[in-house]
Amino acid sequence: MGITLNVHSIESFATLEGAGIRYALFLQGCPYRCVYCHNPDTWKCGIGKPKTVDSIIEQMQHYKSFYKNGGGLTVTGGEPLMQAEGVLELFKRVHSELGLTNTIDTSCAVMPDNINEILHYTDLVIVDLKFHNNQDYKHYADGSLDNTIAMLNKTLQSGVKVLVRTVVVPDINDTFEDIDKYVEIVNKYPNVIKYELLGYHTMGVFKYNELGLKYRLDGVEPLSVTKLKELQSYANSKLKI
Amino acid sequence: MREEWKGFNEGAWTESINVADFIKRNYTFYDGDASFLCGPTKRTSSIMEKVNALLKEETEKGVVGIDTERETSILSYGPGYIDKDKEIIVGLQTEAPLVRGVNLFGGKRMAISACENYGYKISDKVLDEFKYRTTHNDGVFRAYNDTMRKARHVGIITGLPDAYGRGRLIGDYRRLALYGMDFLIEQKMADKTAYGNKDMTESNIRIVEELAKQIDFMKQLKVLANNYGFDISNPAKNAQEAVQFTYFAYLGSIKEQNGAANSIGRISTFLDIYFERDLKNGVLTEEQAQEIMDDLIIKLRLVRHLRTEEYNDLFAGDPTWVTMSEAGVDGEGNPMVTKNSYRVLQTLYNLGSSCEPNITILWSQKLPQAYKNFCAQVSIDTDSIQYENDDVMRCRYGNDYSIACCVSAMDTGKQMQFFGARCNMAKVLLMALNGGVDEVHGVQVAPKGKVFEDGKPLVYEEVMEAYDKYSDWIAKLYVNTLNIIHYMHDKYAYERLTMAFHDTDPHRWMAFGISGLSVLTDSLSAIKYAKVTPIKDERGVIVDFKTEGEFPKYGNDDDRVDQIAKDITDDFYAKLKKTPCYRGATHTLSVLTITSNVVYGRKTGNTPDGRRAKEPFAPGANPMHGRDASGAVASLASVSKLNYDSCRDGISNTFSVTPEALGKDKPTQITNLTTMLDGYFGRDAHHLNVNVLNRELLIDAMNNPGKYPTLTVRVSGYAVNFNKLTRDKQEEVIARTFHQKL
Repeated sequence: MGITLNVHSIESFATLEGAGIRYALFLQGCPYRCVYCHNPDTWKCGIGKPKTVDSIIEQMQHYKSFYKNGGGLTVTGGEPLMQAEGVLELFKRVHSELGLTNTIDTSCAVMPDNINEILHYTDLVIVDLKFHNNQDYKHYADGSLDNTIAMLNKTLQSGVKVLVRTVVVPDINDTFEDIDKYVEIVNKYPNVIKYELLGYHTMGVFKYNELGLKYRLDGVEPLSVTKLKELQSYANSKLKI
Repeated sequence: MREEWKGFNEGAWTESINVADFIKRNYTFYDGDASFLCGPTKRTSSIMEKVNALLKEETEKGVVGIDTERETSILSYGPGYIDKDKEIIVGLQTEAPLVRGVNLFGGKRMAISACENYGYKISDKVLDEFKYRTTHNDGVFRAYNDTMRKARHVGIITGLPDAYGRGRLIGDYRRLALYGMDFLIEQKMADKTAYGNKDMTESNIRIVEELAKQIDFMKQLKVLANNYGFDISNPAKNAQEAVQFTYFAYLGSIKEQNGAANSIGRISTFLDIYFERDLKNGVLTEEQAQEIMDDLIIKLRLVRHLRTEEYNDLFAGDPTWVTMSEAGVDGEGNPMVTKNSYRVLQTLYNLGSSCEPNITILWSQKLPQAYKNFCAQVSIDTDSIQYENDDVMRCRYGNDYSIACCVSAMDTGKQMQFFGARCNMAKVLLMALNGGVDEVHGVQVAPKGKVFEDGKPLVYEEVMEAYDKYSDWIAKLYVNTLNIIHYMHDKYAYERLTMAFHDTDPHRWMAFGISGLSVLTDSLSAIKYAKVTPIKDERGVIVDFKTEGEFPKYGNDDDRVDQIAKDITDDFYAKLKKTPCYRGATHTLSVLTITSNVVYGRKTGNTPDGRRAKEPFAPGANPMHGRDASGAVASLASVSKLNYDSCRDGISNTFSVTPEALGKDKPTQITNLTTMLDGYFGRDAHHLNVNVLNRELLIDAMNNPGKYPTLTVRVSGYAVNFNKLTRDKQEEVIARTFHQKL
């Protein structure tokens, strides 16, 4: 019996989580509680569908013709590094047996013991840089900036490419000063290939109602496309990438 | 060699009719990008202004006009123009653009009611002429037996071409350009002499008479061309003539008959040979070449037939399926992409997006990447083109096949098809559970059999036994019904000119179809893996089901259920083959619904998969709306499991994806779409309609049609102008699975 992962869902045609067409594995369970999370159904640990590494490799093998031109596997969630042992096993086999690429999309909430080994088999890390200080991290996500910095340091040591993302929420982190502080962090890492701002949206709100959870950002409007563009070009002007 | 052929490489084609050989020896492969293309000229734009005004009028009124004073045929009308001085390629079906002719050969009542739908009345003169004539429809109904009538009435087999032209034919219209009419007539006369010297069996007499009819109409086409100022006796001398002659051959065909899908075939690479010769000789510029193609495409966009409301219900949006196939590779694996393949796609920019002609890309893994990218770009920008897998068709149909209608492949000019609409497979299951009684009408249609019990959960093996029996019954009835239809069609509505552009005794396919594949598949899966209990009404007819528990659904790459879909199609094809076809035709099967998935759904009761009565089926081979929940790749993988050898008439899959889900920016979207097409077709899948749009856009278009005059969407093997769909069809398109980002 091989290693088993706790899976929330699978998207066999993902295009936004790394290069080409990707097999996105949404793993169940996350220690953070971000106010804007659009997948609150992935929070709880211990639920989800158990899937063996064998069966995932087999399915990806079956879809391989769709994943050429740089495509491959993306583990996301939830927080995929909560299931680090399975992720490592999966990444090894995606490289050796399928010859496809691996992407990890992480909140940086946890730092597993085998992180160096995982990064060795990772082609791209998507780091979710949520806030630029510990207070906001604590308040809006029950997390900490220190964890994120620690992960960025690890990626720098290993030399893996990183894509940094920040969700911009109106009245929380949408000022030029906020962007300055984010960019200041990002600029410390020459292995970052791109810094991308994502606009806050409300498409996941219905899930809170379904799960009987309180939605803390009730009444906050989605970030306008114009505002997002404005902030992104401001960020680009300050980036050293 | 003839003077008109100067500059071409000789070969077998110079001795006898062999367009494929001509192309092979003379085409110029193009592997560059789209940067050489030209935009519309002033002339083209000014004609399009007129055309757009007419199209707007048509959308408002239904038809621009109907010529009720005469019966349509090749020579019924004098020349017609959009703008006589400016047109480069000439010829209209009637004397004015978009004015429809009346055709009574298919059936009188159909023509009369079609006119009435739009407030017109066929003149007494025309009706008098037809008073003592037998139409195709008269003939069919003389021969239908009671069971056929009942099966047709309850909607288990419908959409049958028993009151309109059967269509799904592709004449090799290129022959007129390459050889000229005199040579083609000579060949047919020689055939007539040869067949005339054989034993006069029934089938031989029929062929001899058909040849006489063909020759008569070939001569009439010369007169038609002459009326427009052209002599088509000899081969075309240049590109403009080549396009014009090809178009005349097609135009004559659609003046004569109103078949559902008269497709134009694979003409772009053929015509490119003429363009290349003229460009090389310095007598034509790229701008002029594009202008000629633009003008041809304008003409093809104006093709119209007069249809009834019932017809429009099955085939919504006024489609004519002027299907134009292009690209593919030859027998040695060389891509047959030319500059003219690009020019055809460019018309969607120069003239605006459009549903016709139905541009069909014969996709091969071996096509040049630049061309693949341009196709993907056009799909993303216009939603107007479809893709079919050359790598599975080429080895079965040769290097010169074309697509008729949506997904029907045939060797151009050498094969023809007897079109056969489709059978409602979901209803077959319900009939099997009800011992041959139709669940809606409550009448005994099929032979009496075991009626499953009320309140007792269904046992899969018992259901399959009953399904087996009733699918056997319907398969036999279906073949026999089509045999009558095509016997009568040959007898009373033979396509004289279209068939003149075929070999004399072509190979014949008889094309059967199924609809409701995903509903039947999921229903059987529910019976097998969940608990399904029938519920009867006061008539004692099973009208509903209580379905408890989970069951795998087609469209999620789950073999437990996908295998059922594959088995059903393989099995039904085997059952059809047990009954021989009229005229020695070969059975084929398609999984394609056009828009009849809405009509069939309306006529079908509750099904065990949880679909409610009257709800639409999914189109073609698509998984049921919203049930393919594991992403696009899993959905495509499920459909690709259907066996093309059992469904040689095509497996249609309509795919809708939002632009955001396809990628962040246009270059990424293009790469991902071509990768996806390579991936899907690399699994031996057959067909994909690609829509790149948002559901919100369609909802807005449904509520504010004026904002989107040219919004085109691919529905099921063809494209429609979204505004021309009725509300129920629009809602069905909106309800389909849109693969979107999570």
